[in-house]
Amino acid sequence: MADTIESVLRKVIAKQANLEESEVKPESTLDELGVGSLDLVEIIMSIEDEYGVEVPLDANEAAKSIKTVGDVIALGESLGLGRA
Amino acid sequence: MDDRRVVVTGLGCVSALGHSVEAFWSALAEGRCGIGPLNISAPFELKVSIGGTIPEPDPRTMVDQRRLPMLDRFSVLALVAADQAIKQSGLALDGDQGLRTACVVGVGVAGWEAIEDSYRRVFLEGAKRTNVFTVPRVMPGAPASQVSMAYGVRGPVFGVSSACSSSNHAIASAVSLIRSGAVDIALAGGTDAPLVYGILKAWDALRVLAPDACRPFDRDRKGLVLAEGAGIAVLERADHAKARGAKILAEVAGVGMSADAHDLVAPTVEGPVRALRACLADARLAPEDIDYVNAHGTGTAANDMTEIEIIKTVFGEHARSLSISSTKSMHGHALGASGALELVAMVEAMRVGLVPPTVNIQNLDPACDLDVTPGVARERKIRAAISNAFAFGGTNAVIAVRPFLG
Repeated sequence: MADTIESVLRKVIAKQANLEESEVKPESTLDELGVGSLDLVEIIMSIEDEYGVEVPLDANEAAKSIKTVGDVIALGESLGLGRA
Repeated sequence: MDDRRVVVTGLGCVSALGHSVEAFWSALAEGRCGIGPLNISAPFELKVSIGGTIPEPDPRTMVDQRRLPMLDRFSVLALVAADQAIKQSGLALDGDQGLRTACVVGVGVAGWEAIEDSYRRVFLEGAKRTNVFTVPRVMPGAPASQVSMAYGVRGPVFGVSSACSSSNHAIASAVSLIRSGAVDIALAGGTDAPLVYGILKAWDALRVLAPDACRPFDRDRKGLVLAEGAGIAVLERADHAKARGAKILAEVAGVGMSADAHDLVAPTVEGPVRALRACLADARLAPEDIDYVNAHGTGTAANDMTEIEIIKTVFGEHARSLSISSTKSMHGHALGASGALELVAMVEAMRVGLVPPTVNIQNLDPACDLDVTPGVARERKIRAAISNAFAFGGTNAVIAVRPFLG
């Protein structure tokens, strides 16, 4: 079975934050994971590379609208990622 | 008694607003923006489409043509600015005076033009070798050395690098050299020429570049706009300047530096506050003595929010009486050159008694509830002014100037 969008994005965030995937929970805030605004840009770019899409968010908008791991997952889902 | 106060006896600059201090100041006074479409060779996709490009004529035509093969663009710009400043000061540095003169030039990173050119040749075209002058053209100390060679400056000569605070750190270094007695005179400022494809791609990746305009303190700010430019000031010990009958433009009243030691890119409030307070203490000025703050004002949300808080923390109630503006809204963010351009802006503002505006504000951010001089310049007698530089790397450097009253 292919990885779900949630597990892919948790892996991406874990890699960027240098954490174990199990530490990255949907309710974790990016702040408490030590993910800064440019880390978030890097995560968005990883999503773009992984799925071959473009996510039109600048550093400022991203930091404003994305506060938790769940927000990143919701962003991925809103882009329709991970669907066949 | 020595008078080791440090004064400004010459200024020079080149930027998106033109090739002289006069052109620069008249644009600032009129609230005219120099930012426009980029005109660079982009072999592949590039998101950013605007920048602060120096208009025609090409500054390369303004320097000794025999030197061109050794000059990266950031050195060309430093030479153009230095020439104006030295001419205004009336100094001749090729005799003994050059032995007691320093040249300290701030540089954001390096000479990008030669790096890009070499990489294209080597990686894309399989060239057998790079240009023979690549190394001496690229080095961050090159602009300072080029200015020293062109004018005979033979005292301390070096580059200073701290990203967007490079100019202010260079000016602070020069002030220390003069106060220490090591030199009578220092050429100080900064230069940068980042409008190069590979570098613009790197800034694209940061996603902090505005697509339309630089709008500091606007609710709908979209980020910063990169620019090229250089500014050089002739700094001089006050008794030296007085003895030779030089025209004194201003006094560099104080400098203050600090580091956040926190994050490579995210600014803090506490670090810049310490730099501002150190600057005021060095200048023996109270917060209430300052009338104008030339803000770092990059046009990013992270900067705006912290800078307003920083100003409120340092100035308290007096913050509401300050005139504040970001001249980057007009000349763009020239990185290592910004502080030097803003020194020119601050000195001219004080001399003329006019606060240059922050342009491009359409909807003032309610959180920026101080007077950021939106849209049009405002007449105001300026008793003293400061210029902020808060850089990537968490390095902060602040310069204070006041009129020289003898």
